[in-house]
Amino acid sequence: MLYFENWSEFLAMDGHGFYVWSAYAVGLLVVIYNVLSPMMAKRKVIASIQRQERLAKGVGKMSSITESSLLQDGRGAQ
Amino acid sequence: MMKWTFFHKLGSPKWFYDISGKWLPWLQITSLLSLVVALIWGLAFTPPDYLQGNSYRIIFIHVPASFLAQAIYMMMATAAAVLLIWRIKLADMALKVMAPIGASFCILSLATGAIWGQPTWGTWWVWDARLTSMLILLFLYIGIIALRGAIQTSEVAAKACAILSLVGVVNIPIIKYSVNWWNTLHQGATLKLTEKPSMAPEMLWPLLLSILGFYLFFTLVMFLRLRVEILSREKKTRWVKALVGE
Repeated sequence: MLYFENWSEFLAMDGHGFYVWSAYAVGLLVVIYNVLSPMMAKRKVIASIQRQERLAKGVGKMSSITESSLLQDGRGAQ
Repeated sequence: MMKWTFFHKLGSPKWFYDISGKWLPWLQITSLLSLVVALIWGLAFTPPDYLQGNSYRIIFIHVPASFLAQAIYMMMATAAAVLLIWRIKLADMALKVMAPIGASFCILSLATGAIWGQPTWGTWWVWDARLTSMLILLFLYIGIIALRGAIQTSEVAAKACAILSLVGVVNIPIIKYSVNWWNTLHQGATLKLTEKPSMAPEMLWPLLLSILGFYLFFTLVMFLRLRVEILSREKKTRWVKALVGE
């Protein structure tokens, strides 16, 4: 059974409202911190892995270009 | 032979990443459901305490947060022992990601305790054995986080954090028995494994459900953090590249 008669009584908690609700507010903050923190960290890690991948691919492309141009140079010399 | 391959699998970050992914939706549903039900039950449906009135409703987050703050520390110490004995790197990752979660629940325990103390004892804080040992637990958590940040070589940092975690275990029985060993302002244990609870059942059930919800929530956010840590440390491996590249 509901203990409180109405919303204002529920919020007032017989004069203990400030204590009860501020305690629950701190609880909510801790929950939000623990949910958001890994989500933001995940975004950061994935971005850094993708950046590295792009960099690696870019370097790979450049080296293949130089290789082929070297090959062409070689052919040109022959 | 079979035993060892199983053991090896347990320590494999990829294996954990795959299996934990399947657990996540269930952990989300069960933790949300149990916390919402337990806290609404505790806030609106239970009768007030005959001595403390409505301020006692703080118990539904204070006790689970305090339990969790101590339990997470014990899990970190276990991970530390596993790391030092078997050198399983997943144990070090677990040790690292549990520290900030444990610290946050320790802060929640101290904050809700202080808020509860004001209407009940007439003060936010006393240097009583229970409160002081809990504050030391927070310093241990902060110390472990800071230690890892201060050491450049990750292997040295892992070992140092593991040793500090193990040394700090001495504080856990002090927290537990502080209310029996010293004459404290803090009340005795609400729940004891060996005795029938002194709490009225209409208050006890939402408390037990809330404790369950806190543990489920901890498992959820611990898995989330551990999965990110695995991605970060294994970023050079083919499976992570394939996963992120999609």
